[in-house]
Amino acid sequence: MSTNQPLRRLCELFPLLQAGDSATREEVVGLVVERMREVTHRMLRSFRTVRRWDDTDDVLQNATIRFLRALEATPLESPEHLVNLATLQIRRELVDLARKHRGPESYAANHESNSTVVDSDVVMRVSYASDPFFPEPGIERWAAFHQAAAALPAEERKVFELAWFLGAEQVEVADHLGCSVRTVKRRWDAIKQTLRDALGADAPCSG
Amino acid sequence: MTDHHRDASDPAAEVTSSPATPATTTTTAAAAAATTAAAAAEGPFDLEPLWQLIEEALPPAAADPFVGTSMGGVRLVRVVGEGGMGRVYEGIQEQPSRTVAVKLQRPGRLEHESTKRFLRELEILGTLSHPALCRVYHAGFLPCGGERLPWFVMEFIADALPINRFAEVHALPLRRRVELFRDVCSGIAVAHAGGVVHRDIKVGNILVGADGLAKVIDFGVATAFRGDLHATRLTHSGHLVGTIESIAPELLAARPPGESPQTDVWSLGVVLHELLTGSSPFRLEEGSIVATMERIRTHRPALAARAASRVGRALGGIVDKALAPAAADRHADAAALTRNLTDLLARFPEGHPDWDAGGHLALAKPRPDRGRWLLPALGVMGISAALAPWAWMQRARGPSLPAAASTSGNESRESLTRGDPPAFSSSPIERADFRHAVRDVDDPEAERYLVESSGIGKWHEDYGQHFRYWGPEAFDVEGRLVYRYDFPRPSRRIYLKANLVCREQSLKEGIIGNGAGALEFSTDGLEWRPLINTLEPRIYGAIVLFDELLPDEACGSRSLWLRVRLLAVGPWKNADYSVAQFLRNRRTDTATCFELAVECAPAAEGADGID
Repeated sequence: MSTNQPLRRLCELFPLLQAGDSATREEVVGLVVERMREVTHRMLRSFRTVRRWDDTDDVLQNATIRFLRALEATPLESPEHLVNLATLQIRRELVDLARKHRGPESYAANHESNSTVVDSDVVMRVSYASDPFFPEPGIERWAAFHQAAAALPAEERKVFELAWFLGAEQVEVADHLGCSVRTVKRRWDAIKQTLRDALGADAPCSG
Repeated sequence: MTDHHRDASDPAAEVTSSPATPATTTTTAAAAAATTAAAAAEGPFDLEPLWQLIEEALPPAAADPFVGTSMGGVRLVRVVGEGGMGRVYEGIQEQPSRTVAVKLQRPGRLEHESTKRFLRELEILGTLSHPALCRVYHAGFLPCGGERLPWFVMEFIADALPINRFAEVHALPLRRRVELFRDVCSGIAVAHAGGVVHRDIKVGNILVGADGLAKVIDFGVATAFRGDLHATRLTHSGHLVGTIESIAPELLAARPPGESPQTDVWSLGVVLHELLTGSSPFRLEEGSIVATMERIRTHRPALAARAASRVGRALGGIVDKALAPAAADRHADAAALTRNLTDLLARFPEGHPDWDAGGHLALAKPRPDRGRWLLPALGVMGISAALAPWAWMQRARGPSLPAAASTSGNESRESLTRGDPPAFSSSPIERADFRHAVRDVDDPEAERYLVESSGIGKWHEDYGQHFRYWGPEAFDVEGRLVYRYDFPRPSRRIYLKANLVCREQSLKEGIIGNGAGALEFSTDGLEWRPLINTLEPRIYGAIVLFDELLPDEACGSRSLWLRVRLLAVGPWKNADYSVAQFLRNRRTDTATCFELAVECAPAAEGADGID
């Protein structure tokens, strides 16, 4: 993000956006897309299966168009609404990425299992469950992670979304939610523990 | 931060809010350290533990299963490149003995469009001959798990670097850069003469090998601008092809014209600009994609005016002409651009002092004007075909709807049934306008009449719920088909995914592949539940994903929009089986699916993040 406090900045921009200021609109889109860039870049670095089909710019182009569309179509009533819309947009893009690449409907999965590569010179047996180029069950974990996050209690889910999707700082989140930083920290610890349990991680989740 | 954020029990809060005491140096230092810690503790969340949680179970990358195998007398040695369509391998050919490159299409990508693109590249490269274009030696199909993966063997470019990197690494003098670029233009000129537009010319698609020869690669999205080649535009309406920084401005228009050699000339101008100045005139890093698109439409590099020497001015003039906003003002084709460059090289022969006047960059670097090209709000809506499809969402709210559709009730039914069916143009936007307008018609009978008479949709009801189904006439910005289903009450949020995979070979062997004839639904897009899992013997070789649903609440309606992506069409052995045929045959079955889909529970309030 161009600012370290995107949440606060979005709230500041809301009145200008309401007034129809074009530069503000650009900045709002820029904030959201830049956060998308950060998360998507990390995701694509981790998941070769996804990187195979999408690169960061593809995803960002899509995200930009969708967010512009949403801004145009959604009557925003409050800064909270704008923040929710931005968060929703990023979440959708990331969830879509996982959805495109996991399960039996994905590109990678739609070829025969236990196939045989046959050539006039060489016969080679290849056993692959999904993609012979990039077998990658890890994407399932990405989906499971967001599924577990969606099932968090409402207060914790809010903190998670602002932190994970929007990249907000702790003090911003506290300000935004009208609670103390300490409360935010406590919820963050609970979030990590819940997600760790949901994903069946062995080691305690530190940090 | 407000005071209520600081709990009395919060040690960090206590430290930062307590007055500093000069008691001891140690105390002061401790307080300062604590203050720093507190600031850090209130800063960004540490997301790393969550990333580790996701990534910890990732398996190591598997070895490529095709390396070490042979096809067509070529043994694959290693992977040298990859893209969405396939991989490129370095291979050793036995007879004649030489190093070659082998391009192999990915398994699972044998859908209609992808295969055609792959084969088209083969056809184009096989048709054209020029030192700057990769030569194709031979081609074939590799049987792989019921699929036949196309491959072709072509020239291998040893130690290849993108042209700009090559110039940078070898510190090429200005004249050598121009000569290298002229050779590229002359290769593209051969393509133009053959009726082919490359469509994705960029520095990454112009490789220079250790021998110093430039080769244009990746004709996968090339298209014919004349009818004498069996290549046609393979992308759906409104789908931008190419890399945003190299796309000509006319292709960003709401209704772009077809590609022409001048669109390639524009992209060549971008490459030349980068070779001469070290940067693209429309760098994506300088702003968002939307802003870049606007910059392409409005920014003029004007290099000639900033050049420091006669050679620089002449070269700048060539760049300026290639990047002229109006296609007609550019060089007519790559041949004209080649002639322009050849003339310049002749006018300023090697050794002319102007070549060295400004070092290897004779032209001044353009000044970045970051942040000075912010978009006008409404300008955003008009800059691209990519943005056009939702324009109707706004227009449909206004009074400019088709007259027949903006009426309602008995009056509308009477007038509508008496009159002729409304006439529609072939414009997908106008059709979309009409579909949207019909949604606001209150009377189901009038609405039904409009739908059925329009010829662009199909009406269904009596599936336990009343809903409307529109046929697949519209494409969205990503080339996906757009379906709309209205479930007026109660409001539903449903994700649908139809996976109609059933391969011919599988049928013969009695094997039901993954998700054959399956339809699944979801309320959150993550957790999918099967609705149907029966083998549909009439369907084979096709995959349809209803991969997104957009709640249309923002428009004051409870409509649901489904975006459908057609991944593959079969059967494989019959390449003529078209998308349209497939869709026509599937309509009834698709509707059956929705009878089940509407059984799921209404979406929870606020579940989508908007409270």
